[in-house]
Amino acid sequence: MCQTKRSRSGLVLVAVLMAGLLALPSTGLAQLGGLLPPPPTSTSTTPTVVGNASAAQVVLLGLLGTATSTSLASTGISSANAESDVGQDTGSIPSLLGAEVLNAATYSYPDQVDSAVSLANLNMSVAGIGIYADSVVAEASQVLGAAGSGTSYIDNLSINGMPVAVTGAPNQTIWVPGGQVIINEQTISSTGTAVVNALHVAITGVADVVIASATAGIS
Amino acid sequence: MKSLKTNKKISVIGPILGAALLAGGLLLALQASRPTPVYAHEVPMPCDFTTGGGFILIAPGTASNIAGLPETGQKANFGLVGGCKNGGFFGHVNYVDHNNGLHVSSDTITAYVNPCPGCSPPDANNARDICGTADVSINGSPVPGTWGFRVRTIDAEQQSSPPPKDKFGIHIHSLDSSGNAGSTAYLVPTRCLASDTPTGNVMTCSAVNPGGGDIELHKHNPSNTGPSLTEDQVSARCGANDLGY
Repeated sequence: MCQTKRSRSGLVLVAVLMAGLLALPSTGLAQLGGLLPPPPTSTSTTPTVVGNASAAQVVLLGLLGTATSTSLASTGISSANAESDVGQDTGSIPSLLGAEVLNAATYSYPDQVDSAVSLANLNMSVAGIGIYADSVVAEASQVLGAAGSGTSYIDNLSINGMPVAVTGAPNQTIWVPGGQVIINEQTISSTGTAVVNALHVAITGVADVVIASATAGIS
Repeated sequence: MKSLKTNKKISVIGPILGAALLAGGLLLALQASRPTPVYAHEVPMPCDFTTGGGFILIAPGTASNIAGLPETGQKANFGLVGGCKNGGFFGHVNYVDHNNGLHVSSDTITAYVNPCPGCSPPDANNARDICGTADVSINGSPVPGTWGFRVRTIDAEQQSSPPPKDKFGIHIHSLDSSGNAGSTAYLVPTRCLASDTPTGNVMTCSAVNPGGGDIELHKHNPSNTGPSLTEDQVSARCGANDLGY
């Protein structure tokens, strides 16, 4: 009961303070009168931009619940009219994956963000599951005011030596021992930001690996 | 008489004026009959940019084996980005030829051009060349010297329906002490992704052989311009225009 009373009195106090804060600007305007310039008739806002591209994002989970994060060929931007790119001949995370010609780029216009990432000769082993692909590409784009979109291109994907037919549909899921492989994973946020992960391997308690991830958002 | 004098003056001036008009007309006609100058390369204005990754195949005899490197039908992988930003060029190119262990890793991008603006068929306008300097190695051993490259990309997806394949080609040339391109040392003429044969024509890629990655020509940015390059500057930075379409 005591706690309830305290919280109620606290709420009242907060409400009074908020009311006071809200009243301050209008009071100020009234005091300055005609000295202030007229309020702007149009508003120009700086868009919120997110552009990311990463050839590989790896989270390895330890026995005690620890998580170790690693990435390959990752880059990002956070403003309009910006660009960032990175490339490397070969890249690897020991005992997990290797690939070559890893390239990631993200680019923003005044009203659009494009991100693209690619790699070749992906050779990966997660919890004893072997995953290979000749070529992996992810692309994402968002135009201001519209929902983002994206595409993945994966060539000659195989899991544990078995060829996998890539349908091209978003979020194609292959169940593997202990987890799943999501092909062409796509999510669109409430602001339209598009995230495209060409391959997402999640093995419970072992690792979470995203290969070729492209993000594009502007709002 | 007055009018006669006037007529006389006119008759004197007339032939001169006529001759001048004739000469001017001839000059105009000569100028009109001259072919309109066509620049072989052009930095897109406003500028766009290209991203891509994937592979091609190099069947024996389908590359100009200037360097005497093996061609065994194996893949050559590539990853790239190139374009203009803030008055300069940006990007990078990575290329690995599994026929012979050749690795190309770009150091700087020195040009990003449309190699054939206004060419026929007009879809050649989807072609972009990325040029620069690079580190070159074979089976992990750096190749002595300084090297430049020209990479040709063609984003063919908007040419027709169903969309044909995108294309990729590359050459490597030596650079002299001033950084100007010398002769071509390694040449893989432009071909469809996942294909092993040069096509020689921008329109000839089919979608029959799926896969091989993707090349994306992104839309231009209205606020973006690149440096203006003369044809001589393009030649110095990109080397021979020998990749075909």
